[in-house]
Amino acid sequence: MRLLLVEDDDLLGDAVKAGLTQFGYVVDWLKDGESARAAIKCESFEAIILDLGLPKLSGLGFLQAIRHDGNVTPVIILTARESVGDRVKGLDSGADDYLVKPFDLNELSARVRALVRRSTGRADATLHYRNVTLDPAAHAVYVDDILVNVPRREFALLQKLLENSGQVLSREQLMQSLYGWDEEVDSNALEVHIHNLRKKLNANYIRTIRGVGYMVEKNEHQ
Amino acid sequence: MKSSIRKFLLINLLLAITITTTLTAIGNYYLDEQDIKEHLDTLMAVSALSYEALLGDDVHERPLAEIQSSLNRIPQKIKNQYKNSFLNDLPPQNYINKFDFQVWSNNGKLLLHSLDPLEITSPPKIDGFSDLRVGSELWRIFTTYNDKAEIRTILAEHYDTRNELGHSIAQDDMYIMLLTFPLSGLLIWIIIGRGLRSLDRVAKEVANRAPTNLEPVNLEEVPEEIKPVIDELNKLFHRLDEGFEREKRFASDAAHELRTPLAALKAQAQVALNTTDLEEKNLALKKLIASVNRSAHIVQQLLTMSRLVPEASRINDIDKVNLPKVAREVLALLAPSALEKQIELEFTHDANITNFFGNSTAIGILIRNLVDNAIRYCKEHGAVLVRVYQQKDHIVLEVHDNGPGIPSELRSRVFERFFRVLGNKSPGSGLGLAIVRQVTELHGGKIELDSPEKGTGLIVRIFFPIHPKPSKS
Repeated sequence: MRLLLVEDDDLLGDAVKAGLTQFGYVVDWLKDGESARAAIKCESFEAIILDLGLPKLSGLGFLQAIRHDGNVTPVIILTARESVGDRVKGLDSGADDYLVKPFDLNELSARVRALVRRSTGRADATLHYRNVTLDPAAHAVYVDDILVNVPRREFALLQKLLENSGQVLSREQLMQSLYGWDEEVDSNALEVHIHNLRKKLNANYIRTIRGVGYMVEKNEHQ
Repeated sequence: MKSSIRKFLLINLLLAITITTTLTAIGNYYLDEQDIKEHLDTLMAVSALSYEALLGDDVHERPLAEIQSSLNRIPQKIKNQYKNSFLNDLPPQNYINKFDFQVWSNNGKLLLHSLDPLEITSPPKIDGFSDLRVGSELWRIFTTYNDKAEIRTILAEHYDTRNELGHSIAQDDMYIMLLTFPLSGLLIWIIIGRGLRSLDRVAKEVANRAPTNLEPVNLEEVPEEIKPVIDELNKLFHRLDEGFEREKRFASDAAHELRTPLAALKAQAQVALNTTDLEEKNLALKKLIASVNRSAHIVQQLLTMSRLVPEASRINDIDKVNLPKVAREVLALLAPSALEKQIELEFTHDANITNFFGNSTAIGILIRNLVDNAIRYCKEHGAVLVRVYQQKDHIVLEVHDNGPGIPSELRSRVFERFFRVLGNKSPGSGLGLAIVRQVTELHGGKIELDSPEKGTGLIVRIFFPIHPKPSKS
């Protein structure tokens, strides 16, 4: 799951990026509102973690601008301001959630998961298809109710496919959600991850649509 | 001794009243004496002349023996008169003996006289008023001579009468004064009380305030005399209010500014906890320590800032500042960090820089912040130059660096607390230049930001007046 972190403080940004990466997220970190706004125009993120006191374009300014442009990516605000008025202002400017510094990384991660879940129209915290269950919070995958060890990238890939079940996801879409900008990626990395997943699940669990991309089918009752 | 305006006024007013009334009484006594003398003299003259007229020119043909026996009965008559009147408590006998009446013929014979006449062998030859000593007693005498009847009429009055009258009037004055004295005291007490009531009201208004109410007292309801006091009080209220406001802002700033480093601390700690990879753990812990150092730096700067409020700079902290000496000491401490970045640190100063009044510690903090900033923002292998020189009646501290400088549109804002230039990668507290400004203002100086003629960089000039104006507070 790919997140955009906009935080101007070096030490905090570094820590949040490292922490969220441990939780399996792909985190792109920008330090000012202007470049974040530029990034959001050409890339897609599952959620944005936004500090309010940003240089060049303030957090609220950034938020209002992207909402004005019609971007609906869930946004969670990180701020040192804790008054009710500040929270209301943040939420009214288009934020989906609000965390006051200092916060707990586990809580941040859980809130991000919840936001992403809701933005994809689900209420259930876990994802199911056929005999496979994926629990984003526990970072666990069960096949026939048996825990299967799935590495970070493969987990993210499976989660992305399950969240968009019934839709074909292009190679580019999947790559974007798996890797940040600063990561060196082999050209066949995606194929390797798909191959590994198929070995653990079921050969035809993930379907290849030639020339288009990959998909997981939708549950019939949905 | 506690001073009570009421007691002071009461005692002093009563004292003043006593002195003035006593003087009045003494004055009255002497003036009365004069009045009494004139009055009684006139009475004597009129009486004597009347007797003479009544006796007539043919006094020798009158029944003198009968008249004399009537005269002898006068004391008894007076006694009877007094018995029937209301004035029976006055002893007329005392006075009767003090008046004397005698009529002498030309050949030295006493024709008529009051009972118990004065024992004189012959009438005084002087007409009109005279004093006469008979035995040990002094008498006032009036004589008149009828040259047709050839008789001399004499009226005499004992001086005691006159003195007693004067004394009794003075005594009465005294009694009245003593009687009115407590009344005056009571009245003064009440009047002062009423006068002080407005003072009481102001005192109550101040006393009944909530501790947080530092609004000024309304001067319109305050008596003219204590306006200066209330005025000063209001000024004190204002200063306190400002102080409290500053404290409040400071606490909130501090809390606010520490949240981000605390968030970083917590996140790094959790990153370290959540990983099993030793290398990643160590990296997170190192960053955690960096976060702690930054928090400590912010706390240190906050403390410095709070100690630099005007109230804290008491007059006994003021000494003669030798700026080159202070600068050299601070630079010696900062030299290692400059060397570490391979920055050339240079200090020059004019000879014979005048010492000026100021706080050496605060100025040391100022220099440390300026030079620390210069070293921090300087490129590696850069140069930091510190100069001290005298310009007219100012001592100038100049710090050059060849870092990125501060864009001119931001120069007015960099002195605000917690303001940080965007994209600034150095971990600062955002308080350094605010501290510099505070110290400069405490010394009545001014700051100038400039850029060098060639290349990038920043020049900071601090102008310290050699003869600072006495500070307001």
